[in-house]
Amino acid sequence: MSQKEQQEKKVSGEAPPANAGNSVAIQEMNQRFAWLEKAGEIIGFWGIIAAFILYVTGLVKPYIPISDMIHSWGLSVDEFVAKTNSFTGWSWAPRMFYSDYLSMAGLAFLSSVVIFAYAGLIPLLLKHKDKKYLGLVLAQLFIFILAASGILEVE
Amino acid sequence: MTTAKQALTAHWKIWLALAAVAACSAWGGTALAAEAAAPSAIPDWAWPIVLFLITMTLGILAVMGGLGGAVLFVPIASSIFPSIHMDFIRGAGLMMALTGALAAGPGLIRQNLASLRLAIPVSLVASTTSILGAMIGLALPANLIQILLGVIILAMSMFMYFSRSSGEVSSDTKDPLALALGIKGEYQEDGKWHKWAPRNMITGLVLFSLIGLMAGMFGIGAGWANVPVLNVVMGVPLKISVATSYFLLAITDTSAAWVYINRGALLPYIVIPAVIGIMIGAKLGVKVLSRAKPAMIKKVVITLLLLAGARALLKGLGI
Repeated sequence: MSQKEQQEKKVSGEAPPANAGNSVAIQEMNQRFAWLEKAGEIIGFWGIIAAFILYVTGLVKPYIPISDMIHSWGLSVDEFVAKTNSFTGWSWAPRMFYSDYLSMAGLAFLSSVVIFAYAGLIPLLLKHKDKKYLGLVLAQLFIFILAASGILEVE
Repeated sequence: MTTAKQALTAHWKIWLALAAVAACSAWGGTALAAEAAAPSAIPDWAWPIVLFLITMTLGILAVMGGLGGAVLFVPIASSIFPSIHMDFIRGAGLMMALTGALAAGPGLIRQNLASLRLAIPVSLVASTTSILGAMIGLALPANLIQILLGVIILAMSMFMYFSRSSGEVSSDTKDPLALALGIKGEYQEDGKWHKWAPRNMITGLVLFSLIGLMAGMFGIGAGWANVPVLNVVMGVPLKISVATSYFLLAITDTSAAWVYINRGALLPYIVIPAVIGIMIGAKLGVKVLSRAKPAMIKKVVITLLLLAGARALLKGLGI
């Protein structure tokens, strides 16, 4: 149905299709973002469940024994890290063969889903030459990377 | 003849007394639970089950009360699990809010209910301040965080109690920022299509910077704050506001979550059962919702929030 026909139907009061009022560019952006977010959510959700099963059943050894962790989780995060010799920043990443850090990798993946979805918008924004939103999306990606990099520290 | 609503209004003192009794009973129950939650009382292996059951219950209540689960989880879990430091509870709260938003977001975006054009500039502001909030939250002493959290939760419960109707939708806009970014859309209501375009963009962005700060600092999703700002202040239709809020939550909480990950404040042993519990609870809540009475659910949720807020405040004050 052409845009003119849709407009005529709208004027006549007949309900237009669900995507009415949105340009092709916006519809494409919505569909791309939703697809990437959904795929990431499904992979991440089942990933954390699988890693957690390995963790709680003891099939894969954790870096911090569960009982030690439980008896230390009343401490503030800095005290906890010091007492358990656990890893901050990205230094846990090479230790994913421990089940607690494997579970952490699942959580880190879930925390990255939106970053991947945002990155997926860039080709569409370039295609539609939407410079303003391209700038906003790049700025948002910079903020995400800044947060994920671990550069920001509080003493 | 008085209607049921008039009767309820006329007997507000009785309702107040009943609410007080309910609050006291729940308070006692919470205190008992807090004692039971001492590390020695719960075997190590049982913690994920306990967390799962509690977050599932909160998930059911949260959906019925129109909230995200984290806003209930953080104050309630910090009360009933005094053996877990607030840093880890807030980290779990953020992940719960994030995964909830990830689960709901795609469907709403696919239906063109969430406006990406509106959400992208707003979320840029909110996510930047959420990083700042997370850093401040992890640097402040736990008792101060408890006091601030208590005040915010109490204010929120008052806000929920007094909020009645939705804001006036603006069909056209003269807002220069909205015009420059081409933010507008259409939505269907009562079988007809209506245009919308946001107003007060600058005011909205300032308010979202505060919401982002709060979300990062306390580990609570801020859907309860997003929706009124979008709807009442910026004139966005309610259903578009609710859907866009989920998108905003995902962006804001992603930024803050990474600050918690980098500091080591996410413990999978707490976070994963909590995330699974809240997601299953939310799905069950949606099913129960069709049979529940919204007014009664709202009262239950407000009472829970009052209780949790008061308890967080008193705990922070060392009382």
